Amino acid sequence: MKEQSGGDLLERLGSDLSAAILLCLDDPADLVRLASLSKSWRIFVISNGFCKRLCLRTNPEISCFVRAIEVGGLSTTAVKKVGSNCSGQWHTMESEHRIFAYFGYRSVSSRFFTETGVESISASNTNAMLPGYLGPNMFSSFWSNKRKSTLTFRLSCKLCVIHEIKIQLPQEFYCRASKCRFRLGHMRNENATPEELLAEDFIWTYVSPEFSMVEIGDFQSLKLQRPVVCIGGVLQFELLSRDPSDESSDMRTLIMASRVKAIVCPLAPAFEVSLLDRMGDSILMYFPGAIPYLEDFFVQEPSFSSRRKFWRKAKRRRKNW
Amino acid sequence: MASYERRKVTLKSSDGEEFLVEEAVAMESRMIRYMIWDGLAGDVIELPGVKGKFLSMIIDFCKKRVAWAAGGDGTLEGLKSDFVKVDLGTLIHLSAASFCLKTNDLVDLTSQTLANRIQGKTIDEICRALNPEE
Repeated sequence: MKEQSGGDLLERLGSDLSAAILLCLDDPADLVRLASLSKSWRIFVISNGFCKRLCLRTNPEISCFVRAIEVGGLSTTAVKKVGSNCSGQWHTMESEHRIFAYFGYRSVSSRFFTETGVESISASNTNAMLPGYLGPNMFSSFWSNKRKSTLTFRLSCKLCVIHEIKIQLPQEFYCRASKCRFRLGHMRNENATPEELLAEDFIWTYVSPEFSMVEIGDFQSLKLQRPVVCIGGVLQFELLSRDPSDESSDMRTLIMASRVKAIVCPLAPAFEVSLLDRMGDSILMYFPGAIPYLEDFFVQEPSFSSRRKFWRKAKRRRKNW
Repeated sequence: MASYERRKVTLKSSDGEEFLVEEAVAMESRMIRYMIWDGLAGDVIELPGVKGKFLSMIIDFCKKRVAWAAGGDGTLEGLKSDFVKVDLGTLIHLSAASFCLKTNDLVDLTSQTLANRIQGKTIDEICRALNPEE
């Protein structure tokens, strides 16, 4: 079957103009549906990598992924037809289309949101790393830096999308800290010794703007301008003190009373990140077999006969266009 | 730069229609602007890729925008929304014509309008949205 209308539109507008239209779309589901319209649309959407470009536009921090690998799924089970012209490069592009389509869907879909919380464990101003409190959810260890007022957490999942952070500080903090900001990143050396951890050799993939600290008696919500991908699982708060020389010894007590929650979308088990080198490059791995239901993501296509009937009618109408 | 504002130039469409416009209005098109700057434009500029009907709509928008920039009434958003209040077939032609003339903001505007017609639709609805009616 030759679906003429979709192909005609692509030919009529040309690749540059069609690309300008697709770059205005901000939902990967729209790109997946367009790729289902016809063979020419499918080739156009996949060969130009629109899903990957959309993800990079909405989450620039994922530019550290030097490669995306699909483990299992269609990439390894597809049967290559005899005499097929499909090259390895096309299979790679198809794979990237699937990977980033689901990545984009997963990172914005509210059905996957979950709230995490943890009690901050004690930490002194002595640069010591204290035993981690393995909370029921995400945060597992914590330490602080005496040179600046930072609270550093390690999330239990290395790859997630953070939508909102809520922080509650003890009252005494508010007279000290007027603003705060946070950073997301990972350790430069994944297998760091405790001494290396204290050196805080991080690679930051995201630095937030400054938020004003407001004492409201409850959790203060730090609304993010956009969802942020946390790669590596390290979240660090920096409290910007009103008095830069303030190094009070009772910081330990105050930090112990701090509370942090986060609204996140875990990307595991469908995605994992593998840190490649000390420069921050990493590989994104996609496990489609770990996703229980794909039907609700990939829109059900109408039947072949109903589509052919529709295009025949469209062809008759188009004669007088 | 008052000298070029008063000069007029003739734009000729693919189907032979001619439009006499001020040079300032014509130079809203990047393609025409570079032709004039490079001295490649004569009295009549031929535009084989654009039909008269759509060229007149684009010229009309450019005239209104030049008037608005000179302190006219209304808002640019109002002008833009009026420009895209057309049926799908005309919108596609306008998009192609804007691309041909290199009026980049019109390309962005028509592209965004076409994208809005695709967003959130099912496959059947996209088929209908991309298939212009008579």
